[in-house]
Amino acid sequence: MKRLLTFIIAATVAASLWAQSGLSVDSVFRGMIVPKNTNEFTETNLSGGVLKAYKLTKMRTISFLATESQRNRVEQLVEADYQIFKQRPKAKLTDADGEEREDRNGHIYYIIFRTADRDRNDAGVRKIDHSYVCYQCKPKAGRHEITLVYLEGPATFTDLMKNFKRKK
Amino acid sequence: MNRQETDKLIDKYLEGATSPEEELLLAGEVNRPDAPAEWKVIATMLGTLTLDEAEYDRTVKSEEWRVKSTCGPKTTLHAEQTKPTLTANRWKSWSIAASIIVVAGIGLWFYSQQNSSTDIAIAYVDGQTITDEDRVLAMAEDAVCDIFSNSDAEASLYEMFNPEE
Repeated sequence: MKRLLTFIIAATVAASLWAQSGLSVDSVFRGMIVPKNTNEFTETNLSGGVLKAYKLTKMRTISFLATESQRNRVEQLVEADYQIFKQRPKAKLTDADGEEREDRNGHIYYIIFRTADRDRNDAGVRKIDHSYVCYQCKPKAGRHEITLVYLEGPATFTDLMKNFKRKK
Repeated sequence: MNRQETDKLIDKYLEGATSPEEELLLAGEVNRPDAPAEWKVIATMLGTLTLDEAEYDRTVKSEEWRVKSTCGPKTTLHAEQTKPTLTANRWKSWSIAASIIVVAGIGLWFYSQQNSSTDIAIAYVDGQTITDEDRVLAMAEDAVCDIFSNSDAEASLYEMFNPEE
């Protein structure tokens, strides 16, 4: 019984970590495209009170160096999730919606878009969290430096811009 | 009983001083197949009833010994008799354990739902784990800011919400 309880706890924690599950880019976060044990793979995983100032409940980032084929695969997955966002009826646009995209040389340079909302039970009160996927690919030392981000929380697109946009 | 003891008991019987129990015991001894011929007289004197009682006692004792030697010690018989009770107890224990697991599972699920914002701050950099909250937040913030800083968001949002203009 002790073993079973340990398994249940581990599964619950794992489920909370895989917040972006259901998205195509989930496999990238899991290290299925570029293994996590490769050099220069960086991953951060944050949730809870530490993100309150950003009006977020979850934040997950990964960055790594990818080959041409790995970049193309990641790009395909990002594009697949983006197309789902694009198919949303325009009439249902809210201030949480937003889209930023720039392509260079036929490939996505960076993209920020909203994905499906998530229900959250906050002390018995049902709340809806927005979720966003952000992707960036820059050339670096003959390879591609990819940064992929998943954000979740009540923050609107405007909130995110206010909080994370820095003047270059 | 040895032969001397039996002879003493015969003498006592002949004196008329034996108890019914002693007569029963004597009947058993004189009726043995290997009993001396002189004891047969005593057997006749003791009468059929006493001999039958002695034979009955011997048969019962013999049967008890056979059961013991066949079925093993008393504890085995006891264990067999209590087997259904033990099985029922085992089922009861498993039912309780299963109920606890189900309730704990449901509880944990609700707990995870209610506390979806449980504090987690962890980073993996080149195979190393970092748990310092400030450091992890700074790393994550850098990654997110790097992407968001590409945008010309105000123009983009204006275009999205005012498509006609």
